[in-house]
Amino acid sequence: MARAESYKNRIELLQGTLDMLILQTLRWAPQHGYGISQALRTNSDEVLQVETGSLYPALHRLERQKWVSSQWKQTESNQRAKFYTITAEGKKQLASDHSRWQQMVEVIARIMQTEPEGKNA
Amino acid sequence: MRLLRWNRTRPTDAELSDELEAHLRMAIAEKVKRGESPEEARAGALREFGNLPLVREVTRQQWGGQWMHAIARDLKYAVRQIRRSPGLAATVITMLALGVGANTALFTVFQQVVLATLPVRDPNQLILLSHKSASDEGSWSTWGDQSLYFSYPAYAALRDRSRTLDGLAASAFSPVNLTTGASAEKGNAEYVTGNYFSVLGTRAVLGRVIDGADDRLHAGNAVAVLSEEYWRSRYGGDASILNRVLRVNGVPFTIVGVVRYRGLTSEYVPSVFVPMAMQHAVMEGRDLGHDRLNDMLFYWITPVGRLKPDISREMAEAELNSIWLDWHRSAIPLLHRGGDFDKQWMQTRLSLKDGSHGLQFLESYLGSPLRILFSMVAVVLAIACSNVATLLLVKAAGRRRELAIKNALGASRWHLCRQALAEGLLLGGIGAAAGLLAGSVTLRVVLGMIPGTSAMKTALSQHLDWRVLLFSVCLGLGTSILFSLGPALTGMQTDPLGALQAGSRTVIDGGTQWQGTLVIGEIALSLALLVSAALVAQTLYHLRTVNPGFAIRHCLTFTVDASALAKQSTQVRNEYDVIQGTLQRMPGVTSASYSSMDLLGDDEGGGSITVRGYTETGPRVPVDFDWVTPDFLSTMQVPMLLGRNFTAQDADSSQKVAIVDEAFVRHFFNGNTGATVGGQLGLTIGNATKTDIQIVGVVPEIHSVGLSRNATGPMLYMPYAQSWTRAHSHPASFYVRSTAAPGQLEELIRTTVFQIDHDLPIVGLGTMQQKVDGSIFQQRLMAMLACTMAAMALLMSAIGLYGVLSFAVAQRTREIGIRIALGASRVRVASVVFRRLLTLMIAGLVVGAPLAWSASRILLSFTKLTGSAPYLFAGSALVMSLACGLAALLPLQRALTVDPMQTLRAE
Repeated sequence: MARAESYKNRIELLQGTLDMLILQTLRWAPQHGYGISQALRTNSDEVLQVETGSLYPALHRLERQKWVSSQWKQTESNQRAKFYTITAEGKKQLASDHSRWQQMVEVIARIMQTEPEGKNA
Repeated sequence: MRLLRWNRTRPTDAELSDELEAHLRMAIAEKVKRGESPEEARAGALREFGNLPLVREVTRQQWGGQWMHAIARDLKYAVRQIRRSPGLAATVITMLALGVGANTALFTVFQQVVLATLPVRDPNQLILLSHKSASDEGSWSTWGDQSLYFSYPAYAALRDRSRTLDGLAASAFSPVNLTTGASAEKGNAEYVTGNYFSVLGTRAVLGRVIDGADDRLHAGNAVAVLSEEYWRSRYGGDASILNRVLRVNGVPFTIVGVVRYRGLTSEYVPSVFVPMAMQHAVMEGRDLGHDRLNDMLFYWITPVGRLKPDISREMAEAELNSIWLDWHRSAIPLLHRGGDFDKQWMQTRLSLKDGSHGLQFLESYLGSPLRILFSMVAVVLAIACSNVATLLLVKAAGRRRELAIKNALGASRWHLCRQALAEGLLLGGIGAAAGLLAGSVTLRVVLGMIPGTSAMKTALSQHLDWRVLLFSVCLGLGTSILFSLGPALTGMQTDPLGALQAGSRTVIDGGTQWQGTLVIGEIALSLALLVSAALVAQTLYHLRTVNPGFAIRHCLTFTVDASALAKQSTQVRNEYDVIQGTLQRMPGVTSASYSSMDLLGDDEGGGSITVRGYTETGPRVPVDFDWVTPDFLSTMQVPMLLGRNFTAQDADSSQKVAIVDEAFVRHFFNGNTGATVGGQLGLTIGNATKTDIQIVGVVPEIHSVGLSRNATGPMLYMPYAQSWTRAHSHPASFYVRSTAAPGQLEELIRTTVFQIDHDLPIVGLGTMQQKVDGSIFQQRLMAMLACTMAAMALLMSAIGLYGVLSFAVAQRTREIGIRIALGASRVRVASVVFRRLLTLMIAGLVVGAPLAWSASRILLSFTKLTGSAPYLFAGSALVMSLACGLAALLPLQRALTVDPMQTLRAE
């Protein structure tokens, strides 16, 4: 079980963010798991590599929370795959996640830019 | 609703696998498109993907309901494990089924006899009264707890003056003849006070119950309420029964209702309830003018009361005692006794008993045997449980490598423990279910063996209620957790490295010690059971050799009651004489007679008497009466010690005479037989003390009531022709001594009696030997059950020992093989097994000896069992050792036939 634990930790670390990124990816069109991972990779200029061990648990968690729905469809290359679609609830969640994330980035940025006062390094 | 949705949206394992495979396929396809070879693409994709089963596992964990899933998987695994070793599973399930089954069967009986509460409103508020007085005399009924019977005036005083009770009712019952139209049958009547049903809180199923207006003293209504059971069996639940007439002992009663109630005791189920005020019209002795309702010394009714909600039993007891003493004081001048009697009369105390179970007559004589048997079956279950644990431990030891590998592969210890528990629980569940089935079947068989004459027949049913079900399920689950704990903990403790390194080499560790301890415990407990069973069986053997005092062989008996057909006393007696005469003329019959008392029928009939020249100093001793024909004593081959037997001249109109037994002489005549003959006595009816009966003879004591009853009181025989009661219930038990085959004679008797009177039912036709067997039935049953349990324990501990020895041999096969190859003799090899056998057996016997000794002490203190012969202990130990020896035979033989070549090759 030791390795399962370490996977969990990584999911937790990314949790909010990964969910948001998946939802964002799904905003334009339904996509399957592989497609999502590829999209995240290309859109981040190959920087972000989501492990399947994080991606699929996240997808199944989102589905359980009814932020995405799924159905089996044919891909362009004629393969059967499970496509995820963002739901109305998911869009709401994405909006709130997005604003919270923005707030957080601003706050963190502000902190990082502030010069320490009265303290000498 | 939620569950449905959960089911619909929950993905399946197959779907998840598909999804992940699709991912892989797409990744491979893309790599191929980029120009990689298919093999490279596949390897790369798999590498990028990571650990596929692990991804699947963590994804699955997102689904929720994980625990159900886990349980399902554990169970599936358990089923597979069980199917892998069906022999072991069958052994385990059989042992559990035996253990749980025996407990279930016994608990069903225990529940009914000891635990069941009356089916009335708030039974826990009910109380029974019991008194202890120095002046207690023989009561109306000689069975059950005599202290529960009260006189009507005493009851009335308590009822009227008590402020702590929410009503005090009373009842009495007697067997009666019930007639509707032309047919008559025997039944039980319960005489109840007007407040009886309201105190109990029982409402009518149909019509109404008896109320206060029906039970006015000396002016009651002739109304009857039927019990639901009688109503259904006799009238098929016909609702138009209301307002019809039912004759009770010939007296017409109007049926006004039906109640769902079986009376205060489960032993005699009332067919009909009538107002107590009507007793004078119905009960035995009604033509003698005995006013029971005003007789202060006639103890015949059982009060039952209900405590007021906020009153404790102690408070009520204090109040009732003061009323009780007041009443006793006020009664002294009315009793005209004086002297010692009055002093004793005031030495009395009332106590309140829990009434929620009613009058537990069955409990009073089945209670201790049941408790003993219950502890025995509990021990059997404990043995079964430890035996199953032993077997599972052996199995777990065999699976160490497997467990170690699993552990090394990432299965958590908790997971392994859970799997062991699941297997145990599954086995336990199946075992408990089988046990429930086995228990109800056993119970059916055992109850079927109860002779129809026994009160147990009516009181016990094989009905399994929720309490029994709950009990068995808890038992099954509890034991399975217990016995799977050992193997589960072994699983927990598995040190993967150690077990793997040890490889297939011998691993001797704590597990073996555990098995040894369990087996020693089993042997010890079995020895205790063996000794107990031997003690019980010995008592039975003693009983069988008891000399009843009369000749049993070549004697047939049956009982008829012509008075049930509403005939006059003279008609009844004439009919009996006709039957007797016909019997005497039958081929092979040497003599035939009848008496009022059913010999060995467990029924006593008696009362108090007055003997001229004798003053009672202690409490009065009840005397048993039997009215007999002149040739009764000669038919039963009871010798006359002194004086003369009855003759045909001792008729209704002539001098009243009696024959007494030696116990009578001892009590009333100081053992002076000579002075007894010629003595005068009289039956005490109310305050009448006329001593108009002359003693003409003395006979030895006989066991007239039952063989297991040690102390029969003084016995008084009187001529049937002079029987004092002209009551309707006037049965006659016939005794026919003959040289003919019993079967043929029985048939002949049946047809003959039928020819004499078409409407006369024959009860209990059979040989005297059957009667004797019936009389000791309870002891026989107890002995049989105890021996069965001891045998089960013996078998189980033998199986346990066998399992442990087999395991020891299997583990040392290599060692034995090498030894033999190196030249050790087979005998030396055998000693390996033999030493283990001896260690376990001797340890078991040593531990078991004090256990068996204390068990036998407890058994002796609990019952009237006698003797504790040391040979019983020695015999039991011998049997135990033999069983152990037999169990060791197969492992021993296996150890002796180890092929050294084979073991060495396997190395």
